[in-house]
Amino acid sequence: MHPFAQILLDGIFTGSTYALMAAGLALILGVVKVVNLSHGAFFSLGAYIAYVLSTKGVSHPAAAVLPAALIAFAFGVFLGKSFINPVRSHPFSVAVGTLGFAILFEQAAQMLWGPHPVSIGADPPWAVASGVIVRRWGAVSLAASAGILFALALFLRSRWGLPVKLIAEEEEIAGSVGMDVEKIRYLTFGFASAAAAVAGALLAPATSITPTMGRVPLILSLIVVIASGMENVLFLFLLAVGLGLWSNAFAFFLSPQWSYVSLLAGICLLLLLRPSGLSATAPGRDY
Amino acid sequence: MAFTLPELPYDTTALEPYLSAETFVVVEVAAARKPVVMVPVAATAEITDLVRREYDRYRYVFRVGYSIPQWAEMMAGFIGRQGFTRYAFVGAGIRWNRELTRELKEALTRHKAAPVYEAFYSSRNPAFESVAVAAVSEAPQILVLGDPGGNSAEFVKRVREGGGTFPILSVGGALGDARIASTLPLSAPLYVQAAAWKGASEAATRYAEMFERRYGYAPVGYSDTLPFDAATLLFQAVRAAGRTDSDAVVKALEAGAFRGVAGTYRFDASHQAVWGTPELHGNVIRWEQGGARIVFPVPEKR
Repeated sequence: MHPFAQILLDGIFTGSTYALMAAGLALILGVVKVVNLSHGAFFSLGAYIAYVLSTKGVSHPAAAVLPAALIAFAFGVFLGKSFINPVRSHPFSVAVGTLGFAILFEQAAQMLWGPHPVSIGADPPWAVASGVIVRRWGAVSLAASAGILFALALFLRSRWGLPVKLIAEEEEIAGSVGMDVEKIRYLTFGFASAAAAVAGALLAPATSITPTMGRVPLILSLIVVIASGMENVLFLFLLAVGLGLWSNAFAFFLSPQWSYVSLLAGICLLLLLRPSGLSATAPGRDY
Repeated sequence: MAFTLPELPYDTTALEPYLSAETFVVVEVAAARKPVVMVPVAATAEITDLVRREYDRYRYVFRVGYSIPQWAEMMAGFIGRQGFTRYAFVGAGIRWNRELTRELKEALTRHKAAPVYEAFYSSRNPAFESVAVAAVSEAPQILVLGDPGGNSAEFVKRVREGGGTFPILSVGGALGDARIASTLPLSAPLYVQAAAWKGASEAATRYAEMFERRYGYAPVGYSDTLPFDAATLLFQAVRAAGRTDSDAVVKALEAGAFRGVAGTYRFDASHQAVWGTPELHGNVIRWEQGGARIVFPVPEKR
């Protein structure tokens, strides 16, 4: 094995999954303009859907993607329409409400699958090249994340993405030209929830699945969104991958126990220097 | 969370929570209110150090589960018997693990084994890839995994994906759960330290079968077995004492031998159950396709 190259590749794989989750959160922050603390719960939901499928004999990493997306989209639309939209003018209430939903999900997951961790069998590595192991779940995660984010970037640049961008930038104008702002918001919430669930489903074979497994990815994706800004999908992807690389490299060369703390410290420093995020200096806007 | 046995007065006896930090709270309550406290699993040496240093105050506290030094001796006994001289230790960055690492190092020195890699990860955001890669690159003969939680399953996956073919010896917990172990790659040996396992004795087999009938899954052999034994021992001690007052129960526990699922318990001067004897020794099991097999000590054929 080539340790350093392995660390880098694994960092890219993990970071790409967090990018997918962060993109969903960025959409919610930009379009719905709320902080969604239930985002991690959708991540866990995706992982549990992958687990349920594996108990039925379906264990391919990509097999759970579509069911996870559809189920999470439905839940997300329900949450967006029934709670977020009516309450969004009260930010603290939204934060508390979405946190409440997250806790509700954790309790429900505990009742359905137990508090103990569950696990999906991981397939053997896909390939070994020059001493570097390409993990199967990692390759699928990278491909899916990159593909979905690329599609999102194209969508936002297209005329179908115009309503979303207009609502993010000029909500009143969007309403005054006849757009159904409320509908677009809750559909966006649904899509973002689906993205989080897909991230969870893709990462499920690599991890052990617990009701609270979404908490750390929620924090990491919040960090990515805040540090990268909500304006550029490419920046968001690159930053998420960069954080994955940094976390792995720090853990390998210095201390595994401090890699998470170093990540948070680095982001704090970054925000001190650029409070509006990295992409504030980038030309053009995606949202 | 302490609870009482149904036959006894409310404030006579208590069983203990899982975590060392919570255990200390209840130990102090025991010192003040004087119920007999049976600690099933919290392993830190401080619990019995309190009894040893301030016997009059803490004499109501007994520990059923193995202490960290005993844990280390049992694992070292297994590793030494396999003839391994290069080992790695990886685990969650908690105080309990750091104590275990020190004790294990000392115990394994006597078996002429030395660590080639040691790492602790944050249990909240473990950087598994890096630790797994580093551990594999050091090529130990065996890796001791000090993580009873769900992260241990993930770590095993990462090591095996990364080409690590050395045996892994887990301290127990999540990797003692058959539902998790069945999803892990078994291309190389996966061992688990347990207090007792089905097949180790008639009592252990009866217990495991009863547990599985009741709950639908097999016990993991530690956090289920030891509290059961703790409760059983309390009943036996009260019967041996013939009375329910704490001082009589304490005298009975100090003087007697009590049979549990894991074996026969006797307590030393610091009220620690004496593990590592022919009567009470724990087991190391190996997961294989279709179930687990006891590999240490090997059960006697009957």
